[in-house]
Amino acid sequence: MENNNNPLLLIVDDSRMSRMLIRAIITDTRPNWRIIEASTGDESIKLVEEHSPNFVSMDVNMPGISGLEAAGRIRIRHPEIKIVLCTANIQESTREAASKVGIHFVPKPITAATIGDAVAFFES
Amino acid sequence: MDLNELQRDALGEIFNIGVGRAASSLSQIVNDTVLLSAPEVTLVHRSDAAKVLLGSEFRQFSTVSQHFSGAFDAEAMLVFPESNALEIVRLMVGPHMSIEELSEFEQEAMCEVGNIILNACMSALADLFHLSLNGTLPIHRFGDTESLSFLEGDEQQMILVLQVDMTISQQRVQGHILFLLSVVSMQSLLDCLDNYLREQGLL
Repeated sequence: MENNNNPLLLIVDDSRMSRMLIRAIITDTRPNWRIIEASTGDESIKLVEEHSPNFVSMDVNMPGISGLEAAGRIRIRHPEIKIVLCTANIQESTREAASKVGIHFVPKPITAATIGDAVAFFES
Repeated sequence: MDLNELQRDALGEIFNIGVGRAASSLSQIVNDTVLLSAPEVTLVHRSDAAKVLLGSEFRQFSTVSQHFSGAFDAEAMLVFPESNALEIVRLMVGPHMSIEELSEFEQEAMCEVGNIILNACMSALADLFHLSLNGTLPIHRFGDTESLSFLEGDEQQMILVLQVDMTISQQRVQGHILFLLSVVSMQSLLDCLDNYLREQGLL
């Protein structure tokens, strides 16, 4: 049975495949975590207000507002939420922008190793 | 032949990884941030490719193409509006060159841009599918929708069209990345994709 005290992860990615991959790896390695999903930055902000997740995995290049902007807005209102940028946008400027606001950076492709890195940050 | 929703999503995401790598390399070359839209993937017959390009906002093109062979064969092509090509070259070599000097570099510079973007996309496919694809040297051409050679030929050939919007130094550059595949190669690509999705437990 789902326990509301278990960590809640919000996966934000416009790609259904990416959301499915992250969900599969997390379900495998952290079966007690609860998972919710958003496909845009705007939707992620709404879900954060509704569900107060502990962790957020955020893509960058999405339709609508960028993941960086969405993560920044979440960070301002909820500094306690740990956010990982999980993105193919591996430019130094993206890494720097993330690092400046305390957001961890994980480059795609999504693998057990990259999600392991994200989980280690979430649990640190 | 068509793509189902998961195949289209997966190809878009794999190319997104490739384009992301390419943007990282390009941003180092132009010393600026390269903003990218999420790629849009469509699969069309060769005869419909002209409509895709004719429907876009530009008429004169600068193209860079490379042939890739391996588990499947594909002609990969980067198509930019011609007006953007010179601007990209200017960003690459700096502001000190005259238009005449820039024009001399154009062929070479566009080949390099094409080489980076096309190889990054094909490498992302090859890496995730655990296969090897060999590419020829890039060839640069100018043309319009009347003279683009890839629009002529086997009507049955499939064209995988990837549209990406790039913004460099406040210059919006819209580019199309086209992959021309025979029906047999298209099927091989989709087989590789389905194998990958199966490996990931998504099929």
